[in-house]
Amino acid sequence: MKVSTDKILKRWGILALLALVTLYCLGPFIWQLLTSLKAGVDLTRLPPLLPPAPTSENYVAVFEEHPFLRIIMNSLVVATSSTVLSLFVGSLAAFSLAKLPIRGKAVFLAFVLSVSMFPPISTVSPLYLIIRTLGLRDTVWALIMTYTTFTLPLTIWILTNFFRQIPHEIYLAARVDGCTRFQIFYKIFIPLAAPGIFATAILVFIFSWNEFLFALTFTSTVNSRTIPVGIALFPGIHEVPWGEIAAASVVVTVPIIALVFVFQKRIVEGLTMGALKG
Amino acid sequence: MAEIILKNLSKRFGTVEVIKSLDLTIADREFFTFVGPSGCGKSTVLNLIAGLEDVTEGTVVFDGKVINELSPGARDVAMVFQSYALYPHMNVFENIAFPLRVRKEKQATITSEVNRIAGLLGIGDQIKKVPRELSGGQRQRVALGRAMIRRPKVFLMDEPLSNLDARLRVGMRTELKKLHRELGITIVYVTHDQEEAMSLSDKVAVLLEGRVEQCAVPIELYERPANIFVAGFMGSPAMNFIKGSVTSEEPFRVGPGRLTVEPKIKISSKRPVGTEVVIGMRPEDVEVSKAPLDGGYEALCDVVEPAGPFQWVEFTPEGLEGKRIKGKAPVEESINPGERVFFSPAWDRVHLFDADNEKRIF
Ligand SMILES: Nc1ncnc2c1ncn2[C@@H]1O[C@H](COP(=O)(O)OP(=O)(O)OP(=O)(O)O)[C@@H](O)[C@H]1O
Ligand SMILES: [Mg+2]
Repeated sequence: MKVSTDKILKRWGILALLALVTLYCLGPFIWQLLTSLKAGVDLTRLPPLLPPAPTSENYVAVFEEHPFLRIIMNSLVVATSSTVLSLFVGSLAAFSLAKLPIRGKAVFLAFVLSVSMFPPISTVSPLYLIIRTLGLRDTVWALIMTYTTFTLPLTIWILTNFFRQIPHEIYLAARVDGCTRFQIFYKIFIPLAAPGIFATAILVFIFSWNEFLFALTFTSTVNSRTIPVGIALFPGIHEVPWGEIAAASVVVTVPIIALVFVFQKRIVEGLTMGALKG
Repeated sequence: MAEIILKNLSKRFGTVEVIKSLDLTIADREFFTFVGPSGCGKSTVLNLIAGLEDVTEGTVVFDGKVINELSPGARDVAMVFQSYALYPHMNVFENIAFPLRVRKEKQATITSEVNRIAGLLGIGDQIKKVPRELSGGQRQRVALGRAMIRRPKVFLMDEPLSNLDARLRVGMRTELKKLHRELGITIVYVTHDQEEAMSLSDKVAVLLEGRVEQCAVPIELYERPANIFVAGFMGSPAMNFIKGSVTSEEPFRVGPGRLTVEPKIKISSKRPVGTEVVIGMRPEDVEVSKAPLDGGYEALCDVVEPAGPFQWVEFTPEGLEGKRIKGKAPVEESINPGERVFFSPAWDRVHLFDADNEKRIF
């Protein structure tokens, strides 16, 4: 009997721990969600429980009083383009670094990594000058270029490692079967590294979706403003519009969560494909 | 039709010379095998023939044409790899079809060809499975199918059977031999298993550290090994070697101490008394018995290994303490370790090697 009591205790212990961690992680988001459903004095009341009369007025206001749809579109364009560009360039580079006979690979990889070590704030002003010279100020291109550049090291590193794990004999077999190197890249290596590609895509997308500093510096109007900046600059007349900010945050977090759930399945599928050898 | 000639072929990785000026001719429709210990450069030779590695020096010639610069796809060779290297994300059908897809063949051709090959190899009902759902033997067949479908001039195989269990390996050997006869193409085969090399090949090249030690038909490697390495590498259990010297010239006798043998060699090869030699005797040529043998020697039995129809006996000859020799005894002999036995080598099957350069004395 004692053993089974122990077991039950242990199980409850684990469950409690899991619940605690989940609450810790989800806490801010839940708070945000609750805040977005409140108005007036309810907003600042503690503890932040569900108000007696939830309201959707914050959500209506976000779309009616601000150009929020336009801002979401900007963000979508910027994040998607950055992700596609970063993965396109990065995967080609990673394939070459992993499989082709190139001299100084290690040095190149170290150099690539070092690029991502500069704190963004130190590169803001020179980048601003470059972008102004190119006449790209307040366009989505300014952000796409910047995000692609800043996420490339990550993309190259992750994908180089994924490509390296693919057995060399598979590469050789495809060579003998008559593939050009580029055919090997897209017929064999891309499908086999799919889990890595999806994981990288998510990381790059989230980075581009959430980035604040460059977006604040390079954009000045709703033409190119992205979500983080858009929300930060919600005009309040007498006070900070916490309810609207919360509603906007909830609206823009949903696509990210959906994205992760969709791709998560692919990532797990890909990982269990395993057993590459043989 | 494909005759392959390797002329003065060398391969260096950095400063390490892995293949050292190889000169070989592989005849059309021959089953040619490279055999040698791990790391001797077997895979490298295959890769050079396939074009997967660039040659450092020398030439690879197919049917009279130098093809050093040709890409692997253009050489019309197919290769089966040790790990099979199937494409994990494609099912059996797509794996076999892949070379045709790369060539952009018509779908109808592809379907009928893949089905024909899969039927031929007995994997017709596995066509929808992906590699990880197949057994080792089935994967092996898919790899063969992917190579066969191209109807190549040359088939290259890098230890294709080494991942299979013993029984399947022997079964696949027979099938490979049959396949070779039916396809009528040149096969270049690589293995570290001397038995496999012997049983499959028309001709075998024994490699050691990037050099060909001997290139001959299997029976010649067995009966007339060119040097001590080949003699010890080919044949299982391995040949017994005993250091000795020439004790008399007429009749020509060699031996250490009391154990003297009379090898049959050419008169011109005879060496003066006192020359150091190495005597080689295959275990299967050494008869062991409990009863005294005609012209036999006394020994002390150390180990007995029953092997079905007979038994291997390891013993220490009298007067040669510390030297173990393996021989063969009929099953009827009940020999036990520690007992006194008699052994007698078959005179005409004794091999003799020069102790200095380790080469065979014919
Ligand atoms: N790309 C390479 N760079 C440097 N050295 C290499 C390379 N490929 C092979 N070698 C070296 O060349 C030698 C021969 O290698 P190879 O793969 O041809 O051996 P092998 O006979 O096929 O061995 P095994 O039976 O283990 O497969 C080895 O010592 C190996 O370390
Ligand atoms: Mg090898």
